[in-house]
Order: sequence, then C-alpha cells, then structure tokens
Amino acid sequence: MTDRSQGDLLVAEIPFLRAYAVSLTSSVTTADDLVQETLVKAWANFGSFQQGTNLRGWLVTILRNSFYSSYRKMKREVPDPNGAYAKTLSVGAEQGSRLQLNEFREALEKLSPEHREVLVMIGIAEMSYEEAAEICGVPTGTIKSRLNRARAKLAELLSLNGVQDIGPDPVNTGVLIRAPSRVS
Amino acid sequence: MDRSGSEEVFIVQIGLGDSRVVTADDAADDINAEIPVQLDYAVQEVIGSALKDYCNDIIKSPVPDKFLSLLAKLEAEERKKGQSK
Repeated sequence: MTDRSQGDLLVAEIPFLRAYAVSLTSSVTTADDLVQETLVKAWANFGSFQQGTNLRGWLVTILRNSFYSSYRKMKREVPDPNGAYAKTLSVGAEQGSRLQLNEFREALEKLSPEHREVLVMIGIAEMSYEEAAEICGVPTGTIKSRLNRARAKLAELLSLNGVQDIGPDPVNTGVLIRAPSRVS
Repeated sequence: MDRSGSEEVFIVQIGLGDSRVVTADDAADDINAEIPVQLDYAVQEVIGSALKDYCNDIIKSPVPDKFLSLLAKLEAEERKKGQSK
C-alpha cells in the first residue's frame, strides 16, 4: 500500500525533476540519467523522508547533490552536441512564445548552473526564496542576488535592454508598468 | 509633451522588481559581474514567460516509460524482499 503511493508520489514529481535537471545539465540525456539516479536514491531512502513535508524540495536536494558531486565534471568533458537539445523540442515559434525558444536556450546555456537552477526553482517550481536558499545551502540574499543576476545576464544576452523590440507593444507596456496609479 | 509620462514610468520601475540585496556572499557569487542588478519589470516578464515555454516542453511531455518501469522494478524488488522475510 505505502509502496504504491510512494511510487505515485515520485512519478508525479518526475516532470519537474526532468526540467530542473535539464536546467543544471543543458542535456536531456544527462538530465534523465540524473533523474534516474535520484529516483533510485529516493526510493532507497524514502524512510528518511518525512511524510507531509516538501517532497519536491527533498528530491531536488538529492538530484542537486548528485549533479554537483559527479555530473558537473562530466559535463565539461562531454559537452552536449550543439543543437541536440533543440532537436528534442517540439515547440515551434508558432506557439506564441515571445522569444525564440532556441535563442533563449542558447542564452540560458551561457549561464552558470547556479544561476539556471535558481531561475527554475523560483520561476517554475515557485519555491520561496527561503526554500531555494535551504536547498542550495546559501543565505536567502544570495538566492535573490543570483536570481537578479541570472535575469540580468539573460536580458543582456538577449539584448532585452528595452521591451520595444519584443513583447508587449510600448503602449501596453506603459500601462503595465504604470499600474500603481498613485505616483507622486 | 510625453516627458512627464516617461518620468512617471521611470519612478514606478524603481519600485518594482526584487529589492537589491548585496551581501558578501553575493559578491563571491559573481564577483566579475558587470551587469545591472535591477531589471525592468517588463523584461522580467518576457524572461519569465520564455523560461516557462522552455521548461513546459519537458514538464508537459509524458513521463518516459523508462522511469515508470524503473519504479515498478524497485517496487517489485521491495515486495520480494518483504515476502522473503
């Protein structure tokens, strides 16, 4: 009984774990190896996971430890062939993405794994700064700083100095930015 | 003309986005960074939605069979162990 729900709990987290692992490795193949290792470790140590606490955070911590202890070195030796990840993507520009996905991916790959993972933890997993800080073993301020730097670096790489060229038109942007109506 | 309008935008932009927090760790985190720390809110939105597009491709794709069979195998092994006790 408990085994079954244990499996179900883990299966439910696989999609996010894969995305997080790709953010670390920039390679779907390596990412899936990491996810596999994480699942095996999580299964073996499930007894140490406290039911009712944050399973995603626990799994991310396991995956992260595996990455930083071995995969990071490996990645330098065996870089993902250029475009290998792009070929696995089925989403085209017609899906309404405001930035070209390939362009964004290339920019993302230029960031450090520390910066990419914070983007995914906060931007995708919607973790709190505190939660991300605990997982990464750094102060909350460092998470905020990394997030800001990661975004700034992406903006720089993608030439997003203004929003005129991409995204909402200038009129709408003005409305968006001016949303708080009382401005002294 | 438009001038007061653009100043207004500028003032509000400063109030948006994450507050700048600089600690010793931040400096160590990326000491060579010569990039602005404060970003236009709309730029953050563009980056956020691009990141979602990038991740959703993986998140929304079905869980590969290899993971399901791995978990099934682990479960079967555990059940076998339980029975032999």
